[in-house]
Amino acid sequence: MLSLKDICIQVAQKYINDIEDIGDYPYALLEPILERAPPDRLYLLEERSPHFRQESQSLWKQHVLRDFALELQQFKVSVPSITDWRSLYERMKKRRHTQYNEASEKLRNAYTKLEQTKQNKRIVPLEREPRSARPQKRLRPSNSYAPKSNSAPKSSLMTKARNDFLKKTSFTRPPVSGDSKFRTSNSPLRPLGSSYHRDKQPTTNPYPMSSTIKPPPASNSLKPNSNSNKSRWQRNSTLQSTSSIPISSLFPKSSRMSNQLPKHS
Amino acid sequence: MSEEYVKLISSDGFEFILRKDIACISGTIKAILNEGVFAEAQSNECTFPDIRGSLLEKVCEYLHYNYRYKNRQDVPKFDIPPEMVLELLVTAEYLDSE
Repeated sequence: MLSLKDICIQVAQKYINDIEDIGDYPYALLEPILERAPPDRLYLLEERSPHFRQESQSLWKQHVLRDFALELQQFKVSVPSITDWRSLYERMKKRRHTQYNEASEKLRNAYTKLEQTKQNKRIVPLEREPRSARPQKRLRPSNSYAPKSNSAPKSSLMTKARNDFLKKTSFTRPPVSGDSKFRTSNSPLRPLGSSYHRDKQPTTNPYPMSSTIKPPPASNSLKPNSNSNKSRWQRNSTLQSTSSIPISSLFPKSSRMSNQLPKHS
Repeated sequence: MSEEYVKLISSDGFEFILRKDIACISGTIKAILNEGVFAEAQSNECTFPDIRGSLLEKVCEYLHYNYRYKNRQDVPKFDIPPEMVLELLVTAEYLDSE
């Protein structure tokens, strides 16, 4: 049979974390309960009832020995020499807290650095293809007479046709120098209406209509990644315009061309 | 033993009437009641100006619990609500209820 006192102590120990204030009660009576109190709770109760601060040193000793045994060993502190266990516990707790914060800070920095390096190496999908990967665009002379044909399938067809033509006619063409203007009177097989002049203003042009056609500057029209079919054409590129006019004149279907260019027998 | 009854009076006027032998399980109460000199001894009344009614009620409950289950094995648990546990502890200390 437990005495009422013992029963009360048992119940109070169970509910130690809910005890907010112990008021004026004598320390000796409450000691068995306070033994069970965690350090935070003990500190709080001491704040509110300062009278038993002196007497609680033995309790604090228990807490220090339990929580900071490692640190005590590190500092080689002799246990009997310590009198104020309470403040010792405070100091050790703070020290541990700062160490923890520093360590977590380091870890956080290391992690962000790692994330950054990863980010730099990551593959990012672009909205547009970069310049080098875009399909090659054909440039046309900028004038209102010439119709603009710019779709990729069309131009490939035209370029194919042009290349075929060039292959066929290459043996009849006079030798080409890099920057000379190709004189129109030399070649009998020169395509109709073509202005082989490099400059924007053709000098001797028997085709008055074609004079309005301004070839673009040849150097800009070239793209680095050209297929083998075009290579020959590109060699002669300085003399030829990239316009579709010379080629299209070969096709009777393209009435647009035939209308514009005077017939040349 | 004669069935004598005593009255315990709390600070807020509650009166608890119980058997004398049960009441005297508490050493303090026994001492108060048996001192022939004081008024309490004649009237079999005991006033506690420091103890509230609710606490005194719990004390009486314990005294009966103690009387009933003394020297027995199958003792049920004696419940104490946590709100009053500290005060009851101090009261129990004062009343020295063995």
